Amino acid sequence: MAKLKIPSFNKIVTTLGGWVGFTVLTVSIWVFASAYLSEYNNQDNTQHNTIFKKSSLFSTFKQDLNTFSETEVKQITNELNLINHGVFNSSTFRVVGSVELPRMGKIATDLFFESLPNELLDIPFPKDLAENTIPIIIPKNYLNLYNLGFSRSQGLPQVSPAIIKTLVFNLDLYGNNKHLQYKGKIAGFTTRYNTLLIPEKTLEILNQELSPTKKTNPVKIAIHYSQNQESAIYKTLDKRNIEIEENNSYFSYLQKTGTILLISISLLSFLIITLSGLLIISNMNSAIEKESTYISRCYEMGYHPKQLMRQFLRPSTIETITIVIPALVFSEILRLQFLRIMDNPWTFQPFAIATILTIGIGTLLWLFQIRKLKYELNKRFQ
Amino acid sequence: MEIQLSNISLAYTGTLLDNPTPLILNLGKNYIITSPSGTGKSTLIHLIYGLVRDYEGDYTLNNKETRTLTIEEWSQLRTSVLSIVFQGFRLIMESTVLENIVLKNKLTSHVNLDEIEFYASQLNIETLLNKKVSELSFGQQQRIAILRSLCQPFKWLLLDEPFAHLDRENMQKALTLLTEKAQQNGAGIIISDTKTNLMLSNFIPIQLNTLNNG
Repeated sequence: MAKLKIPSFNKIVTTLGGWVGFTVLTVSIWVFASAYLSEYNNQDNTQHNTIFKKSSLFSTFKQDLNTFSETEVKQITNELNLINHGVFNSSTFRVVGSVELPRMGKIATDLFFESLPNELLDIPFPKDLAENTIPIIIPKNYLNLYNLGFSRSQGLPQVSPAIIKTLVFNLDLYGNNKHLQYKGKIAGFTTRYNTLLIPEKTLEILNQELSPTKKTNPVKIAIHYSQNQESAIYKTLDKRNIEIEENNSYFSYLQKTGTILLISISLLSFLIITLSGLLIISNMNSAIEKESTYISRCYEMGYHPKQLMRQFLRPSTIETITIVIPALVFSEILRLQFLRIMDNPWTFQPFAIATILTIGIGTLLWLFQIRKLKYELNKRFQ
Repeated sequence: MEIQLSNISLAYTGTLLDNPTPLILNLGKNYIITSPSGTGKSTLIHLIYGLVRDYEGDYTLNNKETRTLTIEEWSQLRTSVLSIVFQGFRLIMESTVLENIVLKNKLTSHVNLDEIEFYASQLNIETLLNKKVSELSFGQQQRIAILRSLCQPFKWLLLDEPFAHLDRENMQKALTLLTEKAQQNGAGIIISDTKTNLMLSNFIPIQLNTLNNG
């Protein structure tokens, strides 16, 4: 029985190309499916952001130019077609936070609190804290800044969110000739706002207690809007000389860039798979060409194309399996590595979808090989 | 399973059979095409076997017009009705004798290894079964082609110059084996031969149109 030999170099190139293509494709589908399922689960196609007036030379000298009056807040929020909004109230008294650390002594720093309506927060405040303890929500960026910057430069240990949450520190509040002492506790880490947030009611009481005469207009407004309104909101704000916080728009920019990048990578993986598929077919064709005498002899003996096809399809079927199965294993390894650094709630389901789709694409490639082989053999027997 | 042929001609060989009344070949009878070289004997055998299909005229097998047969139907006929020994043998040169035989026998599993060995001994090639075909002489290759043609059920045995490279003794042995097997199967033989007409006197002659030049 004739053996259909495919040159080793062709085999290696085809297999390597196939591995890369199918691995990248599986990972891309997984990331897409993961993002889609997260989005689908949230049922929330909305965005939270913070807006404030652009600084100018005049506003440097006259601070009122930076604040929003009640009428302005009403006008702007009406114009922006928002889902919800809320102004940032700020502390009008002095706050000093301090903590005693073993081997380092006491560390103290001035702090500044703000508050927002609860429905605009991504982290809830705990309700079971002691009466003299103020829960504080801090930006997630602060923790990253500490862990990735400050702690390294000062030779301090890195801390996890869980450890930070157990830390209790002192808060000394000064104003209206009074000195109040509280305990502070981190309630959670927000990704929406770049400020230290405490409960709205607590801030209201403290402002009343420590600076009853001081009234200030807000300088920032938290806005919650539908993502499809984004470009309209940006235009309106630009017209009104109002800025949107860089942090979130940067994330939005990153999200868009990431999507474009993912689409490009997926297209590239499709291209690699197509080339790999063409190489398999080319290998098959050259095997047919090389064995044309054998094919003719078999045909003359009474073999029909389907029987011959089975013999020729065997090597390319093995080749396809050799590509798809290891590619799935590689992508599973990549997925596990990815999960170690990313916190993703959708772990198995998107991977199952990606696996099924990849096997589907592999099967399509195989069916295409059968069709092409049938065509090539029939062509010789016509 | 009779064969009917009438007015057969091809663009490149000219007219092979110029007969408005069909030439009818009946099962159980043996025929010999005895025209000189180059008059289209091989072409007619290939046409009956279904390898030549660009002909004018009528060819029916078992009252069925063969022009309408599909590739699959021809494959079916070649494994159960028509068996052939090609003039050029058409063996797979890089395979062994046994591999060539087995490749044919795999289609129908018509004979077992003992029968293959028996036929091989009848043809004096029993010692060659594991040799590569490319290492054998034309005479040996011809006997392998004859052996191969017996490894399937058949109703018609088509033999294209099957003894061209055989000596008288081997020719007689091969002819005896082939006619015996054909008789056992109730089959007919169509042979093209320019050399052995002395030994085939009981075969019915088919005269091709000798005006064409093949």
